[in-house]
Amino acid sequence: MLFNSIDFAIFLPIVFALYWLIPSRLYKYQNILILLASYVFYGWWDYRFLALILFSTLVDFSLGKLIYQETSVLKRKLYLILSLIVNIGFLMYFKYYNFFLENFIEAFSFFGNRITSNSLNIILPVGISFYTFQTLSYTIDLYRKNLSPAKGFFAFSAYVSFFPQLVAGPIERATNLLPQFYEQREFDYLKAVSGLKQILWGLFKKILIADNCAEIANIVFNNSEEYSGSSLVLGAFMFTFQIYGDFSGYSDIAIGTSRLFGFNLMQNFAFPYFSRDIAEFWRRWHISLSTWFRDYLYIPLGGSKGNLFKKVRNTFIIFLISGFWHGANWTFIAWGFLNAFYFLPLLLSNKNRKNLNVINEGKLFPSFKQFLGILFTFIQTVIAWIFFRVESLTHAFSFISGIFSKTLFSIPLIIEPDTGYSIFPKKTLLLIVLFVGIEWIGRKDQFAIETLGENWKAIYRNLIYYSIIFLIFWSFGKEQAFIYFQF
Amino acid sequence: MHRFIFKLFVFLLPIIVSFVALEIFLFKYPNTFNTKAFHLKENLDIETLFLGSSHSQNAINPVSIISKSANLAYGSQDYQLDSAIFFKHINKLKNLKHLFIEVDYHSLEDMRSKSYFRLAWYYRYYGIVMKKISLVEKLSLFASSPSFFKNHLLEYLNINRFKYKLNEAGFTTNSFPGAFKELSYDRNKIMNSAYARINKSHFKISLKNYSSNRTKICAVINMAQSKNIKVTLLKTPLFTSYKQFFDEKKLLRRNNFIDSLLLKNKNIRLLDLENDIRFKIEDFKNDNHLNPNGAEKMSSIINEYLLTKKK
Repeated sequence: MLFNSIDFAIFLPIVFALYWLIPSRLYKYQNILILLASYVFYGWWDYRFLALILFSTLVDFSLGKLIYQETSVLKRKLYLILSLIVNIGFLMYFKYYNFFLENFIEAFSFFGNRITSNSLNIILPVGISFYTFQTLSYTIDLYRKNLSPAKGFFAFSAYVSFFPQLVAGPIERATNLLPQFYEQREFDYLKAVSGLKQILWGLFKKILIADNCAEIANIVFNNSEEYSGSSLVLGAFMFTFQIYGDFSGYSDIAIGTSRLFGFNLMQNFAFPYFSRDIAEFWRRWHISLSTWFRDYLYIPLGGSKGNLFKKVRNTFIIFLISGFWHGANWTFIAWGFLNAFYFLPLLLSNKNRKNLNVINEGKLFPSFKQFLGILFTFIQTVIAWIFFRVESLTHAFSFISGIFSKTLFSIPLIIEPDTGYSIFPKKTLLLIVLFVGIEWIGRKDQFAIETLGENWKAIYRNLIYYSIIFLIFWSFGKEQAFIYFQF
Repeated sequence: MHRFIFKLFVFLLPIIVSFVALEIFLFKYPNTFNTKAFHLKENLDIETLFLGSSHSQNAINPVSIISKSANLAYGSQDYQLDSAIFFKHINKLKNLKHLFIEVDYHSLEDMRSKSYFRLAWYYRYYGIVMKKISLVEKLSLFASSPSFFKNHLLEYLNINRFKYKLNEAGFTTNSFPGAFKELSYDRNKIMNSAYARINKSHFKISLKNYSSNRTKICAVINMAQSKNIKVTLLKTPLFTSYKQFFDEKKLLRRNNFIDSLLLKNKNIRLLDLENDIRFKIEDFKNDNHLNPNGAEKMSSIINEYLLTKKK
């Protein structure tokens, strides 16, 4: 079920009403309702894969208990390895099997050996990368004794399959989300209103920014050889906003929806395109994944401690794996590599933690130096996103060489495939300017409109919300699936 | 909780009321789809039917045709849609004697995708299912095609904006504004600015579409002939600025196909107006569409043609 669909617009109020009809003291029944609703939400896409979630839940619930109860270090480690094998095994099979097979065959062909094998027709279960990482965090935290085992199967199942963040995050740690299932959740008016505001902002990002940008980005990337350098730049720029609007929009809707049910999820995006360097960008982009890799991979590898070789090695490992997490394609690995390459100079010069605060808080504009930093980082990310969006590495290189052609300084024009007419996306660019402006104003908050118009009269504040709803409504109809579903 | 529900309801009320009002307005406001569909429903005894793209849509005013007619040509309509419309209605059109099928330069190699935005309207107004129609598209006219209905609404609300007028057969009687008028019918300016203006998809080469479209036309012709309906292949008038970009091979493919149809089927005729010198620059709205004056000229040529055929 898509958040930006009528199905969800009907589903959410029904679940919300049923949930709060159950008295708060019977929160265990509320958990069961969440579990059922989550399975309906997921099954709406493909009910066959519910068995996979259920199996994963059962395995981690059981192994989690064993890890906690066991006193023998060796056995605890064995149970943890078993959990890793099951979870990562599923992920490997569904997401990476064909990739490894094809590359294995290609590698052998290179040395003159011919191997014939058919790749399997595997459907990637939606959200598998997200819930797998979520359950892994549970068993790893139990192993590290950072957490007690789940107090009940339904609470744990509801944690694994919690519908607002099941298919595209934020990837919640058991230490944050699981305990919330053990407590009474009282309805909080302010929290619910804030949740609705965040949902509204998420829809704005998805429907107005991402879906409008997607139209242009799809046309350019799908026919890149036909476009001038300037049009390719425009396409890459549009994809940069598409992926941000799409993914952070999803996170906003997920966090807002959770608030309606009395849950608090972690912030997943903190205005990443205002970052002054790439290290700051990675502290602000997909925070739940970056911190997951930091805590469960980077730090255990030694982090930024140790000699130069270790620092470089760990940086590349974390970025390459992060790229590979996004998809079974060399383009994602190249994307990770490029980001590592951007990050390395900052790490080696100890400047990777230079920009930790909110940029120019309380000021209307950034300083010139900050502006240059933002611009440079933004250009770096635009180039990196090209690798993320293209079909193959060959496509990436032809796209980039297409940019640096004689046509780079021509007026960009896009050809609409259905009508064949040339268009210039003026309205979408205007929307982006509006969007960036609002995000800049609200950059100190959890989401851009959290406190926007807080001290104004209700009528003016409502006017903003009505305007956003009107714009969403006006742009409705170009419905596109969320990009991160494929990961 | 009660406070939340009440406040939310009060907040949402103007939105719900506005949406209902919008749906009522759109339902009542005339557009080419609802007008033509209604005209066809009320005139199932038509004798002449025109199918094709915007070239035919702009070129033929059914009201000016001597026999009772319907022009079911629409912008970007391909042969999939032509044949779907034809097969959907053929059994109801008992008096149909003439079928005009557009065979312009682009027609045979053009094809809409499943995401084509007008497919929902073909479903709504003609009951033609070319893709899975969502519940939203079924329930809400606006949601079925927001961009199209937004234009309608803006057209209605903006008093300064040019308003198109439709006659009872769904033909736009005042569609004079266009590139040629803007360029004051200056031939040099028109020729020099043509490339940026023309529809690039018309110049797409696709042998796959060519093959699939041939099958569709043949199916329509076979059915028409089995019902004793005379088929006319129609080449609509096109201005030189458009024709200068013709690809010789594509043109030859189109012409060969027409020739093969004419050879095989004695009852098929060709009405070739593509290079007809009776159409002057002032008869065109733009490079490949006639304006209402041109359409009147075209209609009288078709009338002559129908009379000749009767004799």
